[in-house]
Amino acid sequence: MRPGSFGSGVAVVAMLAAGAALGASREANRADPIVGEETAVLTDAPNVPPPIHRNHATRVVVHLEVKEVEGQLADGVRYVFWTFGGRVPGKFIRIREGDEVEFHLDNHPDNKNPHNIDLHAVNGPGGGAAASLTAPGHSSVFSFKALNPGLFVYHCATAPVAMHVGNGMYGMILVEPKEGLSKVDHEYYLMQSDFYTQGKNGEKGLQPFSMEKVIDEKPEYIVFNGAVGSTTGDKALTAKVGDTVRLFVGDGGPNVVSSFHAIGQIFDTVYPEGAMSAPTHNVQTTTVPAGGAAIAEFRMSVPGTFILVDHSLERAFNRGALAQLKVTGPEDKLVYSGKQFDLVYQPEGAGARAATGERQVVLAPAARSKEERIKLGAEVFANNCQACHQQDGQGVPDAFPPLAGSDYLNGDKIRAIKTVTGGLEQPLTVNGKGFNGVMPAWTLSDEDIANVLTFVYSKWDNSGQEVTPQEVKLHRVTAGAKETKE
Amino acid sequence: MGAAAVFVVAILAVASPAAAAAGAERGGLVTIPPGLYTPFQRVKAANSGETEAQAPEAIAAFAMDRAPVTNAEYLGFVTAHPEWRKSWTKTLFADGRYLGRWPADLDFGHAEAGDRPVTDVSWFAARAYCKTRGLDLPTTAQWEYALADAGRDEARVRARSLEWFSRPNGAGPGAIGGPVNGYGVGNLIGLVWEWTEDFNAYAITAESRDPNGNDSAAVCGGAAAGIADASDYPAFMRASMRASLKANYTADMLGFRCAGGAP
Amino acid sequence: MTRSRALKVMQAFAAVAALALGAAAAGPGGWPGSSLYNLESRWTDQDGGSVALDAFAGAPVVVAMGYTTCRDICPAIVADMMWVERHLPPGATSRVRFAFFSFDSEADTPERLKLYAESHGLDPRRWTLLRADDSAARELAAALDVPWRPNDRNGFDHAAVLTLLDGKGEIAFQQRGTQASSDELLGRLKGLIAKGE
Ligand code: HEC
Ligand SMILES: [Cu+2]
Repeated sequence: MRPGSFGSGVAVVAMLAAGAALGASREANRADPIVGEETAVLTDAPNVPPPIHRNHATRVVVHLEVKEVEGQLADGVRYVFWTFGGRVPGKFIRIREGDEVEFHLDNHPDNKNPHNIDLHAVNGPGGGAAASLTAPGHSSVFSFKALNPGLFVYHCATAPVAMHVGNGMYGMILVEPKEGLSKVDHEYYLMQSDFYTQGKNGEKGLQPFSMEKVIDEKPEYIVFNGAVGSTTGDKALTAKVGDTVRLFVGDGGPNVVSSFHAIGQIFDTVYPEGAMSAPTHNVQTTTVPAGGAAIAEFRMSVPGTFILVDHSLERAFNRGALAQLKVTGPEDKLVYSGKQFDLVYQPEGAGARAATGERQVVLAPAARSKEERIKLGAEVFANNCQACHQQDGQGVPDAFPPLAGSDYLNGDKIRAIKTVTGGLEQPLTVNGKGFNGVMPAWTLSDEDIANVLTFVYSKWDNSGQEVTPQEVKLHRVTAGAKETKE
Repeated sequence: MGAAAVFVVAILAVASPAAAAAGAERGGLVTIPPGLYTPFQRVKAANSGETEAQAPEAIAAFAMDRAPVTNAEYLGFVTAHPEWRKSWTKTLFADGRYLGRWPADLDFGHAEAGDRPVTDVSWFAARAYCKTRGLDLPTTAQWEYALADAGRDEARVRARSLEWFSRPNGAGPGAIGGPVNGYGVGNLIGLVWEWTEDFNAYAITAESRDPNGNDSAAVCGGAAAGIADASDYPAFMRASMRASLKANYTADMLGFRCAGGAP
Repeated sequence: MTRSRALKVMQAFAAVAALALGAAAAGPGGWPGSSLYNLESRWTDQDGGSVALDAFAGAPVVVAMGYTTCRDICPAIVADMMWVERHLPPGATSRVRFAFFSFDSEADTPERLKLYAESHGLDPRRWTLLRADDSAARELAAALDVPWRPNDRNGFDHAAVLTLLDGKGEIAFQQRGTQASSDELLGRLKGLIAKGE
């Protein structure tokens, strides 16, 4: 199933699509005799333990250690995570239906808090929680038989549950059906979750947990695999053209449901909610409920960077719910042409390709000093630019160029005014990295453009120069928005 | 026991002035005035699906240590009571991690540790310590009543608790001291968890998420079910911590203080 | 007092104490470290006799805690113990003991305990009902891991826990919750008997 002939893609899709209901009945799994014993292989995200080739049930011993550890939630933002296994999300556990799991929950002696575990793969009170409340420095043992196949979330269920989960206490357990899952080239583990820090998104330093925000369900961060940028840049998932990829996607919550989507890649097969019984095909976006999961399978047809997001987009571009899958290999112009023509499209009037937005632009108050300009510019930035260039100005690798320390920006003020007012579509190089995206033209007022650029120049080690409305008026490419009074 | 027991008593008599002096150094007992306290957990009456609102309990005046018992104080105790030294103590009374930070039976390590709360002590050990001072462990109600501080500064107390949970674990608790609350009691939060006499009173259900407590085949009377204020996360945390313990357990961040009837 | 001075004083104590107590490490009765018989509390039985816990040593004993005015779970606990009693293997009936410890230090006087035993037909050759002060009850409940507390209806909220102790007072098995038939506990008990306990 290696790439080469693109015709094989059809076969692959057919193979992935073939998946009918998988797995045996509860009764059969209950009765399945246990042969032998093994110790579970546990992995940290994005890795997944190897497929199971056994054709019988066995006793699987799982040792999961709870650790409260300080780590990075976002650039410069530290957080004390409560984890199953030292990282967020918790270790991935892989067993086969019919297996008997001997579960050891070990609460590390350095920890402050008691913890337990509720595995959604368990039939029994609390999913194991009732049997596993464990004081620091102690461990609990219980066992269960895996009666139902599927991909399941596990999490801590110690009161206050939203705090334990909010601090990172979730992971996934895959109960493979007897038939096994189809062979793929890559399996990855991706888990979305929401975090509630006392400081606002981006505020640096060690951030305490905010009880108020979790109660109000107002997360500061919504991320994949426990941190902003956990799975981007050189930590992106990888594949080659022609490869088949299986994503085990979970949502730890505690509160936010995910609209999981891969930009530019259709899921050939989805096992909705991680259930093995009714796979669906040709899916664009699949819902992953808090405390739930989904399996998405697809074959890469063309190279590129595919961005995995919660398609509730504010979360992806402003709060962190964004991962990348980088695919290398030959182009297939039949499947995707790339840009073929670059024509000027001029319906009535100029500025039609400008991002006017729906709202009427309200006359911005005129800044009376550079400080005021920076202050007002911060707002313009948050409202218009941050979604792509990110709050810290670092942009998103391969998609949105950085403004922080950008040679393109700092090199030429007039060019910057032209870029923002006229938009930018040609390939360009920022700090040695190539970008070829589309930045819309901004029909903001001269005042707003001056403010936002002055703000950008004042931040992130940029040159610190001021841009005045007069300069914008002189150099702008598109007309400014009609400045109306409310 | 016979002769040996008599001898222990004799040593006790000699040792207790020293212990009392150490207590006086850091302020010793504080008197807490009487009042009403509504337990955090509500109780489900036997054979009823209903969760009754927990009636406020009358708390009589009592005395309580201003701060948790320190390593230095505990050293005095194990010196006088060899049966509570780490190498002597039986697993019925304290698990294998008892006094785990202490390098040896009569050595708590660094000098600075002297002012820090003693941790890795079991309920049995903590209780035995208090008995030698003619005191008990505080009941959960007494402890929570002291923390509630008649409602003073409630928001700040909660915020400080949450900050403590968010602080990285590491070297262990800091030294006692610092500000006290309206009753004159200090260090109830922010240093260590603390044992209470009836720590297991509400542990009747281990499944904290079940609003109806648990099945009637397992409990008599009633079980803890429902809580007074679902938004009081620190109170949940304390309740969960107590529920996770057994009397011979010890933990790195778990200490105690003593209390008794009004002096 | 400075730490070094404190240490010296304490070490002096230690030396004396160690001399006096050198043999005590194994415990008064030489019980294993986890044995319930290390508890030194004294109890009063239904005949008014004073009993130390290690009075039960030497043979398996089925232990539970409750109180006689308890209307819901305690009768079920006692019924479970009686079920075990009925299913004892022949030959073991004279060895195995059943002990019911009360939380209710006030109401459960020896007379009351005796009345309770008689009205439930508990054979005094096998059954002992006991009471002690609050502190002793709390200590035993802690050692047996029985959560409990007084409630505002003149009774106690508590868990149903049946504990099987071996001849040395170590916990061989615990049944949490009451059951129609306490098979697992009975199985463990038979195992102990087979080993000659
Ligand atoms: C929809 C996403 C998006 C938004 C919103 C956006 N940009 Fe851009 N921006 C881009 C892309 C993509 C490029 C690179 C275009 C290319 O590759 O041709 C870019 C390039 C730039 C550049 C030049 C490259 C560099 O890194 O210095 C500047 C300056 C810039 N944007 C400023 C802004 C400002 C100011 C705003 C807000 C008024 C803004 N952008 C809003 C996507 C966006
Ligand atoms: Cu937890």
